[in-house]
Amino acid sequence: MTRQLLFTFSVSVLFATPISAQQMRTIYAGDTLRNTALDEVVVTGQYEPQSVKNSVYRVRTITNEQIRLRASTTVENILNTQLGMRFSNDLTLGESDIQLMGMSGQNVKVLIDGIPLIDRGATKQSLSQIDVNNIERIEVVEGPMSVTYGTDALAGVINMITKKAAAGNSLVIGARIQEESAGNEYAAFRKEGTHNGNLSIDWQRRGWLAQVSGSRNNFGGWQGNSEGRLLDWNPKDQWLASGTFGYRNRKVNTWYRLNFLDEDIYMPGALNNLNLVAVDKNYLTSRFTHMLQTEWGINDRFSFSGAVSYQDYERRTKTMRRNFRTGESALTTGAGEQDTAQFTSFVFRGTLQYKVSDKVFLQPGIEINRNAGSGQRIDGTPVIADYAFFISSELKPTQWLHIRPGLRFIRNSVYDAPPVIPSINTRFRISESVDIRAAYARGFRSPALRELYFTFFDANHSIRGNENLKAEYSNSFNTYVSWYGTELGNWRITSTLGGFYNRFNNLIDIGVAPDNPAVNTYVNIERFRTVGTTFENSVYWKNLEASIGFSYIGRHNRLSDTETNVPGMVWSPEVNSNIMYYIHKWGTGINLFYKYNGDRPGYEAVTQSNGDVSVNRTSIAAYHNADVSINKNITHYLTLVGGVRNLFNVTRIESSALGDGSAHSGAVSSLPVGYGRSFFLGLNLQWSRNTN
Amino acid sequence: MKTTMNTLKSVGLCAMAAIAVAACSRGNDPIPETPPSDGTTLTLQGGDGGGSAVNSVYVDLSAEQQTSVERAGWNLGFYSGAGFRVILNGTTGTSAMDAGTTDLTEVNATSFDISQLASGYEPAKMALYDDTAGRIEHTVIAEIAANEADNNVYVVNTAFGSEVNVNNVWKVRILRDGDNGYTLHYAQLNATDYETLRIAKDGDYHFKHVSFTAGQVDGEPKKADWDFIWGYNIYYTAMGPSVYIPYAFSDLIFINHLGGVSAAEVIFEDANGESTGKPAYADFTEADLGSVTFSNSRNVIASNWRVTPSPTPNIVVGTKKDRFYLIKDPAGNVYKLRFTSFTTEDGGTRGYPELEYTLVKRG
Repeated sequence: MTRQLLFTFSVSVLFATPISAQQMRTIYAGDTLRNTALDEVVVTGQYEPQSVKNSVYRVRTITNEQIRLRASTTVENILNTQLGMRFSNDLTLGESDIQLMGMSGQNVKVLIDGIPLIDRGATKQSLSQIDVNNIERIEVVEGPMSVTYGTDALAGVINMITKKAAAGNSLVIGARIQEESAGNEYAAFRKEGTHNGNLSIDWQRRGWLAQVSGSRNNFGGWQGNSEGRLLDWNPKDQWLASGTFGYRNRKVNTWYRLNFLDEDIYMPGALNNLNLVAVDKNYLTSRFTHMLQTEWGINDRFSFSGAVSYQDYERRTKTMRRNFRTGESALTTGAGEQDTAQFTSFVFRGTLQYKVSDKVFLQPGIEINRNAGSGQRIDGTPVIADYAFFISSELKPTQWLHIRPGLRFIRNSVYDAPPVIPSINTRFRISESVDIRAAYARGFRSPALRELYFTFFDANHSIRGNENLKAEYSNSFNTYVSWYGTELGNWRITSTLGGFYNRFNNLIDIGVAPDNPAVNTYVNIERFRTVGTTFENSVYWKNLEASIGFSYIGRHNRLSDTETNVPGMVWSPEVNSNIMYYIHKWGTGINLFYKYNGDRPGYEAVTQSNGDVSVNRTSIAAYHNADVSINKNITHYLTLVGGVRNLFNVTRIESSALGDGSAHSGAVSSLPVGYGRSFFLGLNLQWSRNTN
Repeated sequence: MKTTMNTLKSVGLCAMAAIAVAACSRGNDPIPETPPSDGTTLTLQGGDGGGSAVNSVYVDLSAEQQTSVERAGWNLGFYSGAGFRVILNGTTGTSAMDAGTTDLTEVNATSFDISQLASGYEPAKMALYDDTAGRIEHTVIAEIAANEADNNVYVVNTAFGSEVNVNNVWKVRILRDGDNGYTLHYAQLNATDYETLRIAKDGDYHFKHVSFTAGQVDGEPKKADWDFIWGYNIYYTAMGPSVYIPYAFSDLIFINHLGGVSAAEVIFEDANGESTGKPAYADFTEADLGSVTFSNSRNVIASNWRVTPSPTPNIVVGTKKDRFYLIKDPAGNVYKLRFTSFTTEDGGTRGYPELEYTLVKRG
């Protein structure tokens, strides 16, 4: 099973013909690196696009520049060097889940242009089902945003903003082709390695715009320690397409967008040498995400924003028996081996922005959510509808003070929603270069469809949903002090020191059903809290942009509720750094993306042979994550990018816990992190023509 | 033309047969000696239900025969051997308790708390089930005494589970019927009258089966006609060191220990895939039998032959490929036997295990 690493390219031939000698402009000129990050505009949670500096929320942005220079093929890769973010991988299902600020994915709201993406279960698989080639930037807000975004937004919000062409009449064509090895495995364009390709066309004329984009993201899997037909990482093949159509004028900006995904995760089974039969599984997902959004500036005082989304998500499990002796293949018949789970979601959100005066801004809004699901592991065809009214206000009584109180009222068709969700965000401008943000917010998460109606009984599972669940909620406090260093010659430095405290109640966890100890169900039992501090710094100097950040996050140790002599919190540190340096003379940039994920301690109760319970300290080992990339402008419109991912060659990290808790954690003694040091090379084309 | 030929042939054959019969003196029809099977492959027909397939399957290796018996088709088995013993249907996880009285009519859901018959993860619950080693003298129902007044009423729950449905609960009182049979009085728990059934012992069988709803029914094959039974059954599992609790699951293989079958397990590879020094399945011959110790314990094979999915790391789900079994039938034939598949993960179908066996020594 030695797979040769072959890194040969003949891609450039495809793009060898220049398209036009007309006036060209590259959309992303390499020498704009020294942008002013503080003037970046953010939209998440804002009434209107706002600069990062003036936002009442602390918004972290992963800029288009960073995304482009990193040349990621997955959203996970873009996020995995962010402070407070970690990923866990379920290799059995080929899925990964995000953790934000010490909380798992079900407490993180994932949005695309402000619209929540549906997921079938607790893990945020949707993150890996978005076309990276369409993402303009990613905005992250830590802490609850439940007043604006409703359920799930407890730990924070990740909002992916798609690329939108700038105003004007233009035609833009973009293309990308990128090849990556998967550790030491690679084959050109198919099978081993990662193979990403994209083609997009943007057209705009007299306010009308149309966009089409298609991508393929193919991952060939990675064998790792597995033998025979088995793979540590299963192959994943994604086809993604999107289309946008819209119109804008001075008052109205309306657009419709459809995102489509087709995903095939293939899990080859071991060959049984006695009967020469192997059983393979495919997880086939298709997703249609329809979005219609409009912004209407009615007059100087009123504006309206509306969004309607309909999502259709289908995941099919296919289990196939392949007989190598007879050459026959047939579907298996066991319980759950052929299954189609279907979820649909309808979202409507409408908000009115009312500028009462220069000092008072008011935003009332309504949101309607309707989720439906069906499948063998879902009891019946349940529908959950959620109606919310929310109102917030932005008050600027003086130059230096900025207050934003908000309330959300919810009615749910199934469970008793918390009657009202409050929040208050403040920003104090101490001086031109220092400001302080302080916030209190309540977050909530309504029980997911799965937790209410899941049913999974077979020889090894007995789990059922619980229709009597209550919503989770949290009380959260955070404070950030930011210092925007004034220009010191060529240097500019900004720093933000922050702290947060979250207290969660009614957390939903799997427990034993009260009426039948042999059955597991979902119960509201857990109390949980997280505390943390972050310290983030950026430096700009000539063609260098560098950042370094630290975080220290504590998670509640549940065993401390019942056991003495164990700490109430367990802490884990993180350090991250991005360094991007551009060499004008060569038209070349060198970039480093780095993160240290500190050792994560834990405690577990172990029953001894004499029946006594002892408490053991466990630990998930620390590891380093780093990508290096080099990009070079070949012509105005063609960029070559290459580099190394997973520089520290991490595949698995040790965990001393006996049970990791997740359903398919694989080896207890190690957790999968990656598939080793990988190399990539890609070519990007950005050609545009001004059609005025 | 062809038809004519065939007709001519038939006529010729008939004539020859007639001459042959006429020429021989009529003797006793000789019973041909059927040699034991040299071995074959079998797919056991457990029927629908996957991990709780509806049938138990009895296998006779030398005759290449399998007999599927519906697990829910019977409730009690009356022993035909020496002594008067009655077993509960372990293949449905039937539980029972002594009601402490000899009067069937005074036992009902008021006088008897049926929740006592629920399954549970406690060692004490083992007392509700017949011996998990299949020893005939360790049944829940005490030996049927010659003295009628010594035979108490038992309350029987025919369904396994942590919740007890009164519709599955019956009361029984069993007496001897002379020296060679039983008298069974039985009724639903809350019934005020009862039915009576007489069951005669039959030396060809270990047990005569009775269903509360269908009376006396055909159950297991004749005792000389099977070597082992596969299926779902009440068994035990360890819940900590030396702590055993009753546990019902599928794919249990019990040899016909009452019928003189014995068996041995041969593990030829260790956990690292290295040879243990014992011959592999393909290499095992009669000459290797000398080093094998056969056991008559019912549970020699039990569930040792397969691995089910679990959160345990690095397990390979399927039949175990590091071992095979030797089975010595009542006639002294020794077979080597291995399981090739039993569930989706190893290319099989749950409820339809596949096995292959080869004659090693003719008895």
